[in-house]
Amino acid sequence: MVNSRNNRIFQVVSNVILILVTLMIVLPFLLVFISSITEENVLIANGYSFFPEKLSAHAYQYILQQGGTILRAYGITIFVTIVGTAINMVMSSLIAYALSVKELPLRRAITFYVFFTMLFGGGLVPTYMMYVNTFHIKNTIFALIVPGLLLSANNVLLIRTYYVTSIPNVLYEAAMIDGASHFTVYSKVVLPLGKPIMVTMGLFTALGYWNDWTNGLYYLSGKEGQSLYSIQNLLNQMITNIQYLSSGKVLNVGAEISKVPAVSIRMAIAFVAMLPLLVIYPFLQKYFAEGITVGAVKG
Amino acid sequence: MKRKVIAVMLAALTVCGAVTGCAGGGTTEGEAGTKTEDTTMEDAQEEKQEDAKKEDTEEEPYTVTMVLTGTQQRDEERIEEKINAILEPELNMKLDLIVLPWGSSIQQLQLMLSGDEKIDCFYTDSQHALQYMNNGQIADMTELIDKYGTNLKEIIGEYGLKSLSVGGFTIGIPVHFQEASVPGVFMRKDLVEKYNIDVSKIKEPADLGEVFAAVKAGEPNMDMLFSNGSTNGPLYRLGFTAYDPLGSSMGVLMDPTSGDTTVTNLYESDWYMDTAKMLYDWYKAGYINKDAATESESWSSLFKAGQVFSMITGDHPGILTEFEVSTGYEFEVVDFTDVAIKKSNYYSDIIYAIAQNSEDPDKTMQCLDYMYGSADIMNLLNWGEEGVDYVYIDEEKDIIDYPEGVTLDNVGYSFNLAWELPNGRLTHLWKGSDPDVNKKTEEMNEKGINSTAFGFIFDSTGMDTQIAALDNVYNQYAPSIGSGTVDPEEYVPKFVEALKTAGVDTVIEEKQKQLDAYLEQNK
Amino acid sequence: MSSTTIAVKKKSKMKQFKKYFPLYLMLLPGCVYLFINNYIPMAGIVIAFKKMDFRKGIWGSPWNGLENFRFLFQTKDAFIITRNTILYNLAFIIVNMVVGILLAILICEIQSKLAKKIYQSVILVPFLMSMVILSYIVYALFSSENGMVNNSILPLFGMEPKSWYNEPQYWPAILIITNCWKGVGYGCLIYISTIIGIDKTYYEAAKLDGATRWQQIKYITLPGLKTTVITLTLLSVGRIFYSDFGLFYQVPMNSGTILNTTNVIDTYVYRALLQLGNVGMASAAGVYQSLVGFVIVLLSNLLVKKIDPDSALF
Repeated sequence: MVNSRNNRIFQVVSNVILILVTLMIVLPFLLVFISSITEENVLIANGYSFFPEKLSAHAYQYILQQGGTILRAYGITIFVTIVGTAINMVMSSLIAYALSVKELPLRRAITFYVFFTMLFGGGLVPTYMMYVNTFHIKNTIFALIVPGLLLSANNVLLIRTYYVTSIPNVLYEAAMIDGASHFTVYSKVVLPLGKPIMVTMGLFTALGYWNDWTNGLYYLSGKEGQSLYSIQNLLNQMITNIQYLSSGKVLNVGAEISKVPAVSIRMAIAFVAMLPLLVIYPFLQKYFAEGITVGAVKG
Repeated sequence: MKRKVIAVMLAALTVCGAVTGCAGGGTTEGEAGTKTEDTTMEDAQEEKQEDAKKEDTEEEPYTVTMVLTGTQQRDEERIEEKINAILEPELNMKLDLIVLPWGSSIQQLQLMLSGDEKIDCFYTDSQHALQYMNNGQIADMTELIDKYGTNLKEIIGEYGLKSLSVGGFTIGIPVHFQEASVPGVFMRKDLVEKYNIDVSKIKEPADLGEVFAAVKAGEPNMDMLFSNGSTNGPLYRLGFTAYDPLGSSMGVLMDPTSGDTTVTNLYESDWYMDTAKMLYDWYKAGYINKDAATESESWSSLFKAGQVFSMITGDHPGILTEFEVSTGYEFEVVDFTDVAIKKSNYYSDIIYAIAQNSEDPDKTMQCLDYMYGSADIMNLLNWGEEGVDYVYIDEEKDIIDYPEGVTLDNVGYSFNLAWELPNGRLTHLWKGSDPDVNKKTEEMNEKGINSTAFGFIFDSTGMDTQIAALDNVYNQYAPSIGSGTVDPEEYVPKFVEALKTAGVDTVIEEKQKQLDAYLEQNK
Repeated sequence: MSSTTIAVKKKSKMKQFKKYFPLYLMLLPGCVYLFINNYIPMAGIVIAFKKMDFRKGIWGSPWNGLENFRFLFQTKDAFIITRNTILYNLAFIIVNMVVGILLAILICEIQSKLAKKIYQSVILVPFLMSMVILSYIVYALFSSENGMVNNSILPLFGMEPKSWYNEPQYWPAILIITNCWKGVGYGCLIYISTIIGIDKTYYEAAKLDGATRWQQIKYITLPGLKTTVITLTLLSVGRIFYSDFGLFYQVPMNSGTILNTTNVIDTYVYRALLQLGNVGMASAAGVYQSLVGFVIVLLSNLLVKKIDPDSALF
């Protein structure tokens, strides 16, 4: 009896703490949304609030008006995310499968070759010079897909670990004895069984593409470049522009400043950028949880 | 096993070498680049020899890539076509604009100048141009100006052109938009009238305290003075006539028209302490916006929202209109002095430089020089196309406005950054502007007194370590002290101390040496 | 392994090659990409030792010895940025671990299936957001004039508004909380799954012995998390010299006054590069970060190998 009463108190306390945590996570997002529908002058005069004096849909009207730019940015984000993630997944799983075959000669050396990229980097300028001078990706859609994000050593190693630990060796051997080639084993055995890790790593990769703004910053410029801006590039450009212009590093920018969207509009765009994630997430949540756990338990 | 690993690593290294050789392919390619350059140069010579035949030989027009900073305009291509319609028959050239966004332009430009992208000329300032020079990223313009700078010599004058020569290397050419200005306070007219403020009593900045007190009593929720920690802040603006920053403001010429040529530390001066104290008093009294040091809202949106009563800024002909248009209020202006001081940066603040990457510096220079003299191109760049992006409302006075149905939100092209263009003085005036603004600016510039260090450029080559450290110290203290949000009695000594540790004295010493040499040379 | 190797060795090289050829083919695209994206630019490390002159290119520029590294070590800033970088990363590792484990234990104890699922889902949401969006949120909370904290929360407790972006002492807390808010969900999920994976019989036996809930947590759950904690920590330790640029640059709105507590190596280098445009110095900083990170990973891996060989990374 005592035990069950104790238990009930424990349940209540745990729930209260977790509800507080949940609120701490949800409320800031709500604040972004409410700021985006607050009348601009009220926002400047009274500050951010959950209960603004006056609401206005002006920010969203503005977004619709700018439809072209924002819709295109959306389209580019989606395209880049899909293509980048697909290529990434194919390359990662192939390399992870090969590295999971224990008797492969040079396996350790190649694993280290992959791992080493997590520790050392050449820095921005050499990377930039190579991609722009040799591969000419400046102001092309490849600029958003190729640099940095197309393969992550971390993900490769996690996938490999999953293959090694979670797919019974017997299956490989059986397949091999049946005379199946490595490609058959890979596509018929490993890929289906490795679905959880693939989905998770896919989601992380997709997240990386969705939230990336640095590639756009470095490799896109001028009108051709800006026509390829993703939604995060737009957001980032707005926030850095307003910081720079109000810092007064350049004089005579009165007219320029009035072209930068107001606070409520910036909040609206931020909301629009995170909305798809918030909508899709509940459906994918299961895979996230599953994959993170299987992948990371042993790196 | 081990031996195998080593073998593979060796193999990998060789491949590595091969491919880095390939990355050095950057070099091969670079060579190829110079080769084409050579040929185009030859072409250019040929061209000179057979100048008359020029129109017959159907040579590909050279495209000049020009990098600006601002807001990307939707109809940029339409305007480029219009500009090319002028440039092609005149010079057999075309213009390709690249507009970088404000927030990241410095970074992007730095990267573009590091790669081998096509970029011919760009807008910058002397401080950055000096870095580019040291990194080998820009071309020396001395000879180019001599050869092709006909319009330039007429418009800017030999003196202004020469002032951008650092040790014989001309880093750029100044734009034609110099505006001497004097510090003044802009107060909302409606409130000045409402509280019966006698503006004739305001003689110096300190007199504003009483004005603020009177207005604050009636408007407790408003900020009396817009302040921020940057060059928009009151301390910086009041400094317009107090000192000559000699480039970086680390080591300045106090009272720059007195003839004294001693470079001193601004942050140790009485002027700095007194001004900071005055601002801090105002801050304590609640006159200054609380977020001043990091204010990220622009002054115009704060005025527009009715939050602010006044702002200290550099007053010059035309700025009042700009204020009234961007805030929607009328203003009462009081200047703290009549005569502007033309400082060392008078010509070097906004300049055009030619990139090392330029395939044809000669043609780029020709094109730039042509643009300095072409009102048509300047107006296309700044305002777009007549009849589409703007219409005349008074052709005689050169005043324009949007056509029917066109607004700021839907206009196809309205760059509106005349000061950034080679010759912004040639652009039309927007509705509401004083038609005589150019004449008045000219007059004010004429009237302005030259600083002793007029035209001096400080070259900080070899002091990068100190400059990086000083910049860090500056960012840490100057914005909060300069915006009035911290107690100067406590922070200024700390600031000065930190500057000394970071090596400010070495920089001042070097600056003094260069200034003495400059003055000697220009006696 | 050994028997197969011997068997393989007996066969001709050609045959072996044929057998593994498909696997090498599979390795090819990924390895080529890593070679291009990661290894070729490493050659650019030489920039750190050069006085870069773009007219002459990377290889033609004159050598500069260790001159470019001077700015990292010569001034007092060097100490501050190194200290900040390391302390923040340590704090992030510890706080995220403690909070993550705490939340994981709580969530695992919840009996309602639905509630459990909701908590588990919500906690990962901030992890999906970009730093840019996070900086908007932090500003909405802490702006002196308009922020929620000054306008609504502090008055509740009768406290005076504070000028957050001006007072360095608050920033370690703000940044650590922000980072925890964003990142804790990831670790938490891993801990949850590890806890679920712990053999249930341990708990049942403990219950029979009359162990309290606290004792169960202390003697069964926490030890069960050891390997996971070590792995995650090792992975973060390698990045101890790096920092999330967005977190340290955009979230504090690049405010100067608080630099003492917000400046880290990445932001310092970024500012120096913006101001000076000195590519050599930026590369030098990158080399410094990579080298130290490399050494730290090797050392900590060695240490872990000694204590608990199973948990070592390689």
